[in-house]
Amino acid sequence: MLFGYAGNILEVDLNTGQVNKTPLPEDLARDYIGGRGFVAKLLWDKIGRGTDPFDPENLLIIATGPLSGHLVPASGKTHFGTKSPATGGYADASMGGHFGPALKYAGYDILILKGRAPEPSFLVIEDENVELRSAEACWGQGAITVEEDLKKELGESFQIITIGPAGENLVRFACISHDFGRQAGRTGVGAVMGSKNLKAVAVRGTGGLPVFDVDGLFEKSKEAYKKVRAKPGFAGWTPEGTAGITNWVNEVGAFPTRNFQTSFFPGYKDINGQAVLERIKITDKGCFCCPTPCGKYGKTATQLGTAHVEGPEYESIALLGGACVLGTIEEVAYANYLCDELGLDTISAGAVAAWAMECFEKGILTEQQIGRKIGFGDLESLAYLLEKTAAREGIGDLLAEGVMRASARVGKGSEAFAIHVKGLEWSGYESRNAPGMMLAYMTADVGAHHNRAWALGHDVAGSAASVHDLISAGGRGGRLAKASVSGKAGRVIELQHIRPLFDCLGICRLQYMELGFEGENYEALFYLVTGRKMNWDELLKVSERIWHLTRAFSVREVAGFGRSADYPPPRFFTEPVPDGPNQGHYLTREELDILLDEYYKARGWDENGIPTSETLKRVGLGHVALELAGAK
Amino acid sequence: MRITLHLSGGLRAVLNHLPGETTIELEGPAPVRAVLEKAGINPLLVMMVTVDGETTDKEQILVHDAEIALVGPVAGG
Amino acid sequence: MELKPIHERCSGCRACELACSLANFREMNPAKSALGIEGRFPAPGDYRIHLCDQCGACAEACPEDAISLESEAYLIDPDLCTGCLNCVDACPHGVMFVHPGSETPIKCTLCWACAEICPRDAIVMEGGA
Repeated sequence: MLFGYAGNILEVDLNTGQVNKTPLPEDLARDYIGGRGFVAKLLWDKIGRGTDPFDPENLLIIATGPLSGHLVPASGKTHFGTKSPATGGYADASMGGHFGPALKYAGYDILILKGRAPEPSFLVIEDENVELRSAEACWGQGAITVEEDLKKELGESFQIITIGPAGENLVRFACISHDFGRQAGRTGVGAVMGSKNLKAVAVRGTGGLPVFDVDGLFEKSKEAYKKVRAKPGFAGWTPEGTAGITNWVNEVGAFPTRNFQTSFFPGYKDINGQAVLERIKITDKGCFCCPTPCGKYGKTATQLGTAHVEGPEYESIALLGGACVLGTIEEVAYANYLCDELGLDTISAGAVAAWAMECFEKGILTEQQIGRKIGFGDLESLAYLLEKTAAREGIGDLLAEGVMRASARVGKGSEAFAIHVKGLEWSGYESRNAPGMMLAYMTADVGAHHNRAWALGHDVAGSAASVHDLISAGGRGGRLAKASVSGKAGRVIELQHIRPLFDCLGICRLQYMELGFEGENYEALFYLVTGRKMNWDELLKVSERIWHLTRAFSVREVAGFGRSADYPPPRFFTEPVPDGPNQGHYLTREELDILLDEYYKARGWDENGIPTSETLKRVGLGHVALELAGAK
Repeated sequence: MRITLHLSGGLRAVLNHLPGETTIELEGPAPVRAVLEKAGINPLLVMMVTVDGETTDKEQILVHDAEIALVGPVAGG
Repeated sequence: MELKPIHERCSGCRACELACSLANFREMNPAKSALGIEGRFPAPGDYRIHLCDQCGACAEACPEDAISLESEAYLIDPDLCTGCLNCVDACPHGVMFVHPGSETPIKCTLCWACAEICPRDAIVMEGGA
């Protein structure tokens, strides 16, 4: 008996509409726990080598964890995985909200979508009833609009995921949307869903979840919520959500500004958390069972119109605000709304638009090619680029490819400032004086994303010998000392195991990472729900196994994958930061190599960044080692 | 003034030599920043400050005994 | 004593729904809860808490006298209930819930589990000693 889990995998073949429900294998749950673990294992086992991401044979896997849907903080996380249209390698995205719990109440831990529906369709799952219906009427409509309509049609209690026109048009950074403001944002999961002719999935379930010790869990849960509320950061965290870090990121000179040309935005106080709180927020909006709702739902008004939107949260502020240099929170929120309706990842969309703006500034893309003049700091320019991209119209067809492919096509030196790793655009932390963070971005499995290891705090802490050095150097308009490049690998690796563990459990990491809600609380909750005694180290070992597995997947699927895929764009190793707290700093190619060498050694990978057979066997992936060896 | 400092998990992760709760005595009025300096906490590591439960910033001037919660570097999502 | 909703504090987390089903049925199943959280999106962009206020309309509507006031809460006697669902229609707040696994509708028993768990203090107990 698998306590905690719903107990079933639901596989839908969209070619035929055939539905297959199978029991969740116990060894899959034992060795991979859930969520990201399920995704990594199933992608390795079930995707044929060399499958194109837009081929019907690519899978879109939606996986919950054993704690999803239970009364634990914060159990609404759902994990999406596929082979990425952006990177060609391992892709996943974690989504908050209420979808995963609904899937479990309907009786399913995992939903596997394969094939391609013959016509635009949406899937309705209601307990054991699974039905494919025609989406002809809503194909082409915005992701938020379609959710609103489907809720009216099917019932408010349905939990729904949708794609917008960007997903339909296979924009390589299209997202999947849910609950009027949450996304499975990155790596192009929305484009894969669009390639399957699938507009939406709606789920409702009336079943309960099996709990190993239901009375014990109820008591522990009540205690858990009280403990979270008692944490020192609890009161400070919620009012502004992640937008509340905007000030600090600027103070330490890590804020993406003007396509990452620099790392400090003088106008940051007009686009920070206080601006969200005072000028646009209506409601603190959270995920299932979350005590610290980070969503800031509000209303914005600009010259382009008014809109309700959840956000902007920090990343959207960094990439739509900083990288595109929008001057007010209202404009950032409106751009956020456009991305949400169109179904575009705000991070990649911001980075792609910023790249285009810099290309225009440098004369690399002309007004004729673009269709109009564009510029940084101009909401109309950004809106134009977003709309064109989602529709793959005109210049949008180039931009929809993402900065890696677009710059390769355009050339003329534009690759130097195409800010990505492996084909995934960079998220909100400029890292030319943050070697740990730089390494985190270089080695994240999905590409340039901070979610796997947020090491910036350690970089800043190490920036000077003493408190007084830092006080005189930074935070008062002064220059920060150069951070050391040695000794970073250990912390990055540690974080790369801890953070994704939450993606396996099916819960949010915020209470642990930001408020310090301790690991032993999760050990206890995990035991009471599942009946499995696993301590923190044992849980992290599973996370470590998955790390090597996702690396192996990219080795298998991306031609020439290895060290060369781990470098950041030339801007970061050739251009010193021009101004702000980190003026003059950057990391040389040699310094990047020091970071990688130390990392690969600690990981047990060879100098080309390929996991050795020995390492794979050590973490229980002997079969993976054989398959990789056989492929050579 | 007697100031009680509560350090968040994120802050202690980078300042692991400091306890979760510390008491500092200093002459008032003084900004939060001065309390941090006296406690040996790098102000650049403090991302959010609440004074007696209210969100504020490092320049806030303290005039009497207070409970201050310091939130360390956290990440966007 | 009564349960009072403070809608503007609700963040839509629905921990209350799970606490309710755990307290009343020892089950992890929000479909068996006696309250409902409604999101109003995209506009006005907030949440409403649908909670029983023990008005007694259900008791009045019951043809079997299966619903009666016990201390401060109206409770359904499942032995008397025939599953006619008149009470569901009569409820002015839509907080008599029907679940496929139960003939008897699900109704708030004033157990306070929702108020106890709510991390936002959006459901509070008011009045009384």
